[in-house]
Amino acid sequence: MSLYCWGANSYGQLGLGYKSEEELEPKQVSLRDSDLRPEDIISIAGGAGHTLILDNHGFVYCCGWNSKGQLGLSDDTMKLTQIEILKEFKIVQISCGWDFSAAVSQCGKQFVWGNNGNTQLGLSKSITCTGIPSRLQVSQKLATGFKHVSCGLRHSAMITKDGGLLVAGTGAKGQLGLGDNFDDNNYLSISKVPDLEDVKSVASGQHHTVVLRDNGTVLSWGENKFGQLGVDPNVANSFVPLEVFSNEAFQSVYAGWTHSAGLTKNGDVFSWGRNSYGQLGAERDIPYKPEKIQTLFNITQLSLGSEHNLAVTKEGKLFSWGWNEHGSCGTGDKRDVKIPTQILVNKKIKYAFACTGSSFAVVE
Amino acid sequence: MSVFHDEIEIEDFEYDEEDEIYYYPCPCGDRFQISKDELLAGEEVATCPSCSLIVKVIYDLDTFVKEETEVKKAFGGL
Repeated sequence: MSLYCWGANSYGQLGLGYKSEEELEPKQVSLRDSDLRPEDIISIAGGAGHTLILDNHGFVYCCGWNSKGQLGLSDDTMKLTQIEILKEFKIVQISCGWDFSAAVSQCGKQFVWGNNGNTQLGLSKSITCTGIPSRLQVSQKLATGFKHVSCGLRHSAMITKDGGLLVAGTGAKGQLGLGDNFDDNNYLSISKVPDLEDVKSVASGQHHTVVLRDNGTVLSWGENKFGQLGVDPNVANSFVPLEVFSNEAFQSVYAGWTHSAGLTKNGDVFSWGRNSYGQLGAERDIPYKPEKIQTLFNITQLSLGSEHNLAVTKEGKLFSWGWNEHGSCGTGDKRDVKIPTQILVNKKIKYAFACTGSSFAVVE
Repeated sequence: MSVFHDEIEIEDFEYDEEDEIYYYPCPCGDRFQISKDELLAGEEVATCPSCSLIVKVIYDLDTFVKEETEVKKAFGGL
């Protein structure tokens, strides 16, 4: 198996060992000097200029921009390097915000590092940033453990062991969902979204948050300038969770910067929000209305970058669509991709991951 | 052709006091930028050095100029 990358590389986030404006053609990442094996990779996440890779041993590797300590290493690196300090915990899930990172361990601990200027790590306001992955400690009343974290531009949302949702960071646009009286200055660095239970899946966008509950209800809050909440953009923001729609078949929700998506158990993809660069994968009369992308079937894995998307089918085909100025869609050119288009056509894809402006695929 | 990727309020930008530049994240991973001097001159388009996207900065020129003059006065008085 091998690891492929493409798209924006201005900080060396593709792990190729060098910086470049972008890589239009998918390129193989050499892992010769690393312990990381492509067949072990289970997840990849990326921020503005950094990348995290998680393998099935629970190890996390990183490369790229380290301006705020988002790599979790003391030095910059453009080659995938293991985060030593996390070695003793079996990490099972990772997420990246713009310039910060988070990881959840098997036993329910959450680690955070990078920029905390907006308390997006959930750490005390006195900490502006940290290059050392730090365990997020909260009162028993808030959480007895963590299951999943999703980082947005300047905020993060995490599912707790009991199915509640904690939020941290700026809530200036409503992205924390803490209510109409919200003011960043009057809140603690981490809070629980009231009256929200049975959270199954969460995704943080640029300034919005999308949640799926066990019963199939999709809720969203934050900025709605482009209909990314799934409601008419004449509602500019919502500071409280809005019940957008319900679909019992949904298994997970996703967020780009200004668009959102859902994946059903039988492999259908729904999308809504901004469509100016083809983010929704189809022409839409009412872009804010969640609708199925009719050209996609049997999708087993979906991943959203800032303005582009990747989907893998049951048979191992990879489709991409959306903004493509940096070749994030992997089509070999820079034209926006309005309809999901198959890439790496002759290859069988195991996983694909859309990071902010870049992409990765594990190829069999 | 100038179609704005977005319209962003000045408060949402991050100000770098050393460079005297306002920054805002661009979806490509780089940052839109506009200098304080440009804003003072009435410029309202922030550009990204890595891509073609541009954003319109929402700010009130009069207030901005007034605030800057006051800051200067305060520093001058020290």
